[in-house]
Amino acid sequence: MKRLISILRENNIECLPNERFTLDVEMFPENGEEYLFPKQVLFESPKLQGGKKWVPEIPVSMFRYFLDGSQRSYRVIDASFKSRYLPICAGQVGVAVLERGDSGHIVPRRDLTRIENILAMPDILEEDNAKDLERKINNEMPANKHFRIVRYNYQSKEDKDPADLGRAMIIHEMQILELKTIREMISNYVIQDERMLVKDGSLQYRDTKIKDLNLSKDDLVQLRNVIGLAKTFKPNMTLGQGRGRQDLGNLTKGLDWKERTTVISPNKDEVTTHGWWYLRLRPRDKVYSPLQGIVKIEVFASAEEKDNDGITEARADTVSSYVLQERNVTPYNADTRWASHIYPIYLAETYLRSSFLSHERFKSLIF
Amino acid sequence: MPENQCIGKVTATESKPTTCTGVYFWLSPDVIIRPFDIVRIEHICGNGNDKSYSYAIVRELSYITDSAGHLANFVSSDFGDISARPMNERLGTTIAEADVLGNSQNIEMPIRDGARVEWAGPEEIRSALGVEKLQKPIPCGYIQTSNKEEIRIDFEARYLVGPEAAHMNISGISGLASKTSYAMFLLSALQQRMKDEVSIILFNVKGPDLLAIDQQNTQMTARQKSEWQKCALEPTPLTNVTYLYPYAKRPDRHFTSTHAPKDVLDAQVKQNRAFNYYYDVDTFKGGEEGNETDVGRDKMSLLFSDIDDPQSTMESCIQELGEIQAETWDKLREEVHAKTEKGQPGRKEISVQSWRKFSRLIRTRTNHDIFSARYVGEDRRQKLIIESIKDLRPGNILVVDIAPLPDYLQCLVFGDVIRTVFDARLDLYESIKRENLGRVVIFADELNKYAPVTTGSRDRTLTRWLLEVTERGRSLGIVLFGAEQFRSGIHKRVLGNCSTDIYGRTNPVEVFSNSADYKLFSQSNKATVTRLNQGQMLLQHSVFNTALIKVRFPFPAYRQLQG
Repeated sequence: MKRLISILRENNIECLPNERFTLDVEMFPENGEEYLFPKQVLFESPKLQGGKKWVPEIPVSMFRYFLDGSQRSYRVIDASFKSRYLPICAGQVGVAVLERGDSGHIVPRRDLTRIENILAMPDILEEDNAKDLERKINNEMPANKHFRIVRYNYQSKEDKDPADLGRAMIIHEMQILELKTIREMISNYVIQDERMLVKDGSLQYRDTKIKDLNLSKDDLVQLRNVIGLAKTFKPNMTLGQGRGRQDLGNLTKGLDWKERTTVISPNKDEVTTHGWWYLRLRPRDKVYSPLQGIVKIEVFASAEEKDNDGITEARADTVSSYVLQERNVTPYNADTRWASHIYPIYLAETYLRSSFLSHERFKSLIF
Repeated sequence: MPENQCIGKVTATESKPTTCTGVYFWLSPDVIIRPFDIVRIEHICGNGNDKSYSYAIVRELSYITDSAGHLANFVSSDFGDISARPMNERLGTTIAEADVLGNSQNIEMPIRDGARVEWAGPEEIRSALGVEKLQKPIPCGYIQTSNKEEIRIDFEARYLVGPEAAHMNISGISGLASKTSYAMFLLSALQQRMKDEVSIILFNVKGPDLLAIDQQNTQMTARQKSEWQKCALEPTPLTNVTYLYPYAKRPDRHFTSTHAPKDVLDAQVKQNRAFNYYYDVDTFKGGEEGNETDVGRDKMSLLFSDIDDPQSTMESCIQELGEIQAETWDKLREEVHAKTEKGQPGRKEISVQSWRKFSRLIRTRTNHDIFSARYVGEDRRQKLIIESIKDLRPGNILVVDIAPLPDYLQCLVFGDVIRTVFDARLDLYESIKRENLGRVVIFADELNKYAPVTTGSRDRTLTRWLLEVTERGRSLGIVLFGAEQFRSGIHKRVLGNCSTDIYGRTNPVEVFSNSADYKLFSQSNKATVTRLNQGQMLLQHSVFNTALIKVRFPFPAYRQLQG
């Protein structure tokens, strides 16, 4: 098997191996944060008095599938293109789906789990050349180690290091892989009203990504059975307007165990309108910070909800109660984020992480 | 070789790698397995393309989860709410730890991670355990695997009764009737399989336990009979049995003090299979055949073998006894008593005090019906032990009943039999041809009485004889099958010479104390040996490829007499 750097050199790309081969990247970054949305609007119907409520506990859950996407990316080579030295980033992106049986036993859905090797090259390399290069690389690689070349716009943000842009491209590919998996699950009727999907992290994909999925009208309906569950949020984000304004941290720290906030929407007038709220999963007196043990729950709004100016209270309560059911068992002591983590997502992360090539093996594909 | 049902996969990690001798594998959640099960594992092959199979015996099972600690589980129950019902089942699996027994192509490389683990077939199990191609197999039980297979296990006769190796020891607490039952099962197997080569002497030490071993157990169920067939043996009692009972002046009981029921005794007498042993003065203090003079003196020392004799004065008295002319026990006692009077003529090495002690002892210890003279008539069925051994032939069994005797007389009779057989195999008796006896297997329960662990600097006479039997008996064709409650109570050299060790249920104090015998047992084996059920034993034998095999053995096919 030829190494990637040799193949690039054979194709007259002058390569300087990156000495650092940076491994110090966040392995499981949370994607998309609230600060992208400057405007927040209360989005619950009817309006929730007091801004929070206690969630009734029901001992069932319609959550059946758990999806986690992850990536590992490295700046691997600085290459000379037309007298410019630009970074080439390489990474592994993957999506894992686990299914939970009625007994609580969790098994991986291998048919819905996939891992890809991505090579992010600056778009100074023309598309045709990129395709040709990809073919040449893969001719030399075993089938299960193939790379897909994606091009990043190295000039899009002048103040940014091009390597960050390359890495952002890899993260984007991971999000696309997540969405494709969700689409496949919807199209194949895997996701249904009583077989809902919980996705790790936010649902705040850029609208174009959702649109690019080309979901039919029927399939779009199924998006209501996809739940986003984020473990982190920015407490300094401001909610509401005028006298009702308050920081998110202030609102959430007032939550008691099994209480949720009202639903908020950043884009209530957009095509893919979604709303989110916060729920306390753990007793306040058992965690060291008032913000620990709170999860952010995101759902897409249905057409009626969009028309009726908000996610219905019953739906927010039901989804909240399902999430509350997920609080046990926990990865306590095994993951620092245990208080806001749900176990099936933790397992999906672990499964995906153990399916990635190790740093050394991945490095050996390159150099 | 066709693929069997896959039950798990090998796991090799940084901290727990597979080795030439050990392997770990995780189990499919629906598989039930237990220690001592034998599995087949795919392995690499010499030519690189094909595959070989390694076989491993499960030693330990553990269930692991991804929980970082007990506290994590406490937290996972809403911080200690016992009514909390988790929606998610924690990730966990059973990990089996197994000892590698061998490989189909003798490959000794560690097994690779991810290798398929399957149930091994019956023939593969026998081969893996080393019991497949034996020259003369002696069935020693059968194993039951978790996948419902029942496989016969054999000892190799050459390593059980010589000449390659010999002697067997059985340990186990009393009350479960396992030790004696197992020994009798094995003796039955020997009789069925080596009728022309092995003669058997066994001692009945408790009640009437072994006094009807040639009568069918009529209460055997069909299932119990089928257990014999699983061992490829007939569920029949032992045959060609002669009983030797202690002589007593009781005409109503056929002149014996045995605990055997009257009907049993009547039948044996009728079949001319029961005799009463006794000691007359001549044979006791020496003289009838061969070089019995020495033997006689040793018999006398056997009578006092439980008495401390640091100055060897008793030994000197016994030596002097040879010079005493006496034809009856009364006369002997009188002669010894005469030595206790002051002003005796002759040598004065032995003090009068020593003679007094000796006289006291000989008076009390020979005050038993077995110390008697031979009567003229035949009705008392008297027989000297040497006469019984003279009649012993391969395929025959001699049962010596010592149960009614006090401890010191039990030692005497046991020692006498051992010594007589030993000397006979050494061709020291003119009237006994060593080849007529065949290999002699002697079974003795309560071995701790005869060969206790050494406490002083010097072993007593009986222990010395037993050491001689276990150390030289293999080549002479004398094999000791011993049984006792606790191995820790037995002389180390007696145990060390046994090529076969049988472990019955024992108590945790024995196993988990510093007893050297159980030191090399794994924790699960230690636990197993404290939980064995009736009819189960752990076996250790020279030809086995593993340290221990857990077997079941059939219920006795001979009549069970209750004490």
